Amino acid sequence: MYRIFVVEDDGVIAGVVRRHLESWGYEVACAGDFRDVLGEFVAFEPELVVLDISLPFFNGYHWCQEIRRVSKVPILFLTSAADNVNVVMAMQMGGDDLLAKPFDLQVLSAKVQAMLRRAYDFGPAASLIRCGEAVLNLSDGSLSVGGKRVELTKNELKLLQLLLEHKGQTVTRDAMMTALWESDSFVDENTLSVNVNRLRRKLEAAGLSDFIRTRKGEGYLIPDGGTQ
Amino acid sequence: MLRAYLLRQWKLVVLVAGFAVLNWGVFWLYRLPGEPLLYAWALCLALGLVMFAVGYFRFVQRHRELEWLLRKAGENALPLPPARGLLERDYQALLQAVCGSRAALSVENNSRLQDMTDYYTLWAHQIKTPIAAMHLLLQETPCPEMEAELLKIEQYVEMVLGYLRLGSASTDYVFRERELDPLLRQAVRKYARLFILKKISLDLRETGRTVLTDEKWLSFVIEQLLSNALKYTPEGGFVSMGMGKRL
Repeated sequence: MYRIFVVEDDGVIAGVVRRHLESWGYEVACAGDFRDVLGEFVAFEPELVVLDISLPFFNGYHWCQEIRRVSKVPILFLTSAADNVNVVMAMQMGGDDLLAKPFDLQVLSAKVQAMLRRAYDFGPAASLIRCGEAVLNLSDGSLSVGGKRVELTKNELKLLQLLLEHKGQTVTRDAMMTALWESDSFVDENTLSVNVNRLRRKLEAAGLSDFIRTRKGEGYLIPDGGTQ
Repeated sequence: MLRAYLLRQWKLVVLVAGFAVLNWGVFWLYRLPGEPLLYAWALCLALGLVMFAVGYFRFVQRHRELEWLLRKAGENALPLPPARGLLERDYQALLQAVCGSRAALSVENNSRLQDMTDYYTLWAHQIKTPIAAMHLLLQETPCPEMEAELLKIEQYVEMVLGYLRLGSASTDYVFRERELDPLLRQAVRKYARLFILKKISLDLRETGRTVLTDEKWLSFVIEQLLSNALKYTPEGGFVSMGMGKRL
């Protein structure tokens, strides 16, 4: 289990970040004494640091330099000001990445995972998502069911990936539309329904009937284990 | 210009004409021959024309110097030509005093403007922290209506930041050839949540165009246009983006 040290003076942000990272299975500690962040860092021995730039007493750049004197641990900066000057400054001070506020928790956890993988794992990123007989290969965007390839459009692939990544949980229509819009597919409600229905038909034709279930008023879900 | 000079010298002209008339009157009353008078008038006229020409030349030169100074009027120190006479010295002293006062006011104004810009820039950055906190809380406990309102607050803060940067002396523009469509898509992605929450459809027509622009500021302009479009389009409405005919 990786340990993550969060240095953020805003209690709400620190709390939400901690809960979110703990839900991903990390052990998280938040800095309490902003005059002795280095001391707390040394005591906790984290594998990654999430470091806000605007802090009381000393700013994040100062603590980054202090941490760098004793460790090469990956550091992810959080900042309200993500202009070029601040980005360059953050990297020059020893940071590995920077996330601008306000940020999405999924983006935070994705960056944390990527940084930990680069720093401590040497294998390639997990690119296969399995659910029952369905195997979605994220690296080439292909779906195979029982060994047979199923052709999907870009939108259908995006929707299936989202549902599989949250299998067992209901994914709202809003979340699905957001995922499509973020990949430059500016769909409306009707188009989303059309895409979901097309995806369902293709999965049924491949032998996966009732793979995607509707939760009326909420969204859609793929049960854990697929059609079970 | 000649008319202006003549108007300036009108008293002298009237005086000389008066002398000429008086001379003629006296000669006529005393029944003296007119030839010496005419000869004297001719000599005076010749001398007068030479002095008139020199005076006119200096007048035109002075006028051009003052026109040049008028163009330089924005600068703090006015390089005035040497004053000719007491009255000109007085006018120049008055002008220098006004310029000095204006320069001092300008410095004070710039300083106040910079302080205000710095303050509101700091405020805008600091307000992003509670906005970020609310965003995170909403991700834990979704509430679409609150999310929509929070997005609006965020947009207004970005608008303030953009406006402050626009007026800043340190703003530098980098003009490059840029494809327009990726900039449009990037702006739309930024407002995706508002489109979805207000159930507003988007018709984005690819332009296929390349423009010479500063990417950051063009993006800011496009985002402001989109923001207004979303604000004034009712729920369930429709926004269309594309390239119109050249005006």
